[in-house]
Formats: sequence, structure tokens, C-alpha cells
Amino acid sequence: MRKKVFKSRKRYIMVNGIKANSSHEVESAVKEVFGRLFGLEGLSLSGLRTVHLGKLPVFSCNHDWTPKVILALSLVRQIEGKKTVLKTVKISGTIKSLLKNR
Amino acid sequence: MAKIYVDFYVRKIDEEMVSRLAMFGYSSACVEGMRGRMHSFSGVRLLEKVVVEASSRGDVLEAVRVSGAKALVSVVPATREALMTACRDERVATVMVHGGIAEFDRHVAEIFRNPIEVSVSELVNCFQNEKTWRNVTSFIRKAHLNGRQIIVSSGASSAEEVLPPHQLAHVAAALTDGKAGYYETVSVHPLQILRERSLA
Repeated sequence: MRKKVFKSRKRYIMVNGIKANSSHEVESAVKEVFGRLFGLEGLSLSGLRTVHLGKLPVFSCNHDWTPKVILALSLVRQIEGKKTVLKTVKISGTIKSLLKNR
Repeated sequence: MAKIYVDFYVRKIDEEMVSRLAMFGYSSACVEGMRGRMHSFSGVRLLEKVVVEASSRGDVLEAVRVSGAKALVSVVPATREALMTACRDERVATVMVHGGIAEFDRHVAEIFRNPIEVSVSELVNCFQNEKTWRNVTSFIRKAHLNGRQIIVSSGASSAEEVLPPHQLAHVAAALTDGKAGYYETVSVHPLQILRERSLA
């Protein structure tokens, strides 16, 4: 009998307050903090990655890890030497609903 | 019914910060060292908060005596003696967690009554050092396991540092190993303190 494979539920987190020029720097700053907090295993299990939608970067992760990703976002206070405070604008299960009523 | 949010610790206040608080949907904010007990701007009630750094039992008792029973007094305990006094005195509103706080052991757990408070700005400071980060996170986790109320505030000193309530709720969830936003930390728990002091 074939084993049932469940698709992991995702959460998309839209972030505001970025002063860096490139969203790759934002991504690497968040991943660095996340790695310090939860290690490489956490980074892998969380499925943390960035989806580029226009100007604002959107972070996606497995839904169980949402609070931990937001903790990492809150602890980022400097990107490329510029003082930055990242604020979560919206959290959603799909990109479509994330972009609705922005 | 919509939730009522409180930012329990703002270091200073200006017009921009008030408008930012209103934009994020806060109904009240507790401001350190504000003159006058209560003001209201743009639909946000600003309440006076006293933050005391205490290193002995005498420091805690003196601070609450001077401030009065209805004041919002938060104690930053520098020593274990101050922590033991602050955590059981009913006149203390919250015990503020910081990097150098004493350990949450069974003796502390037995007498702990007051809610604990952690600000994101303090978390950012603690994150610079492994030991202080371990202290803070283990204290919060143990306090949560012992059923203590937790309050998460922004600790903002500029408009940029004011964080939305759902972000604070998720920070609280992450610190207590929760899987979804822990909204009581920005809504129910701070409101209960304000009601006890007739400020809500």
C-alpha cells in the first residue's frame, strides 16, 4: 500500500521597515540570526526561505515555526550597518491572500 | 469582540510614537517616567509607569512605598534578594526579566505571584551574549511552565521600535515553545493588571 505523504503547511510573513538596498542582505541577516537561535537543523526543519514579491520581501516557513521566525525577525536590528527594525505586516497561508487587502 | 491591546513598556513618548501605537491598534501604552498618571492622545491612553532597578529588598520596598499602591511599578531585580521580594509583593505590577536575573529555581517558583514582563529591546540586548540569552529564555520558559503570567512589551524608545501586537504575541509564543501567537501576553494579562489598579 502506498504511504500517504502530507504536504507541509506553509506560512508567508510579509515584512516592513527595511532600509537595505537588496533583499538578499535582509534574507542573509534573518537567516544568520535564525541560525544562531536554532542552529542549522532548525534552519533546515523550518523551511525558511524568501519569496520576492515586488519591493517587500516575504518570508515563508513551515507553519509550526512561524513564532520562531518572527522572533528571529524581531532580533534583527542592523542590516548592512544600517539600523533596521523589521515589522511583520501580515501572516498568511497563501500568497494570494497575503497580497489581498494589503 | 475585537481584542484590546496594551504595550506595557514604552521608554519615552512623542507624537510620532503615539500615532504609530494608534496605527497598530493599541488602546493603551505604559510610558516610563511620564508626568501625570493618565493622558489620552489619538485614541491611545498613556499611563505612567515606574521602572525601578533594585539590588536589595529595601530598594523594592522603598520604591513601592514612594509610588503608592495604585501605581504601575515594574522592578528590574539585580540580585536574588530583590527578585524574591519583587515576585511576591502585591504592590509590584511586574517583574522585568533581564540578562542578569537570578535563576528561576524551586524556591523562587514557590513564592512567585506577580506576572513577569519581558521587552523586545531587552531581548535584543541579551541576544548579543550567549549567557544572558540563556538566562532570559530559561527564566521565561520555567516561569511559563509554573503557570506565571507573561507580558511582552516593545520597550521602544523611538517610533521605529514600536512593534505590532501580533508580532509581540508571536515572540511570546516562541519564548514559551508555543506554535501560535500567544495573544494573552499583549491583551489579557496587561489588562488584568490595569483593572486591578483601576486604570482600565
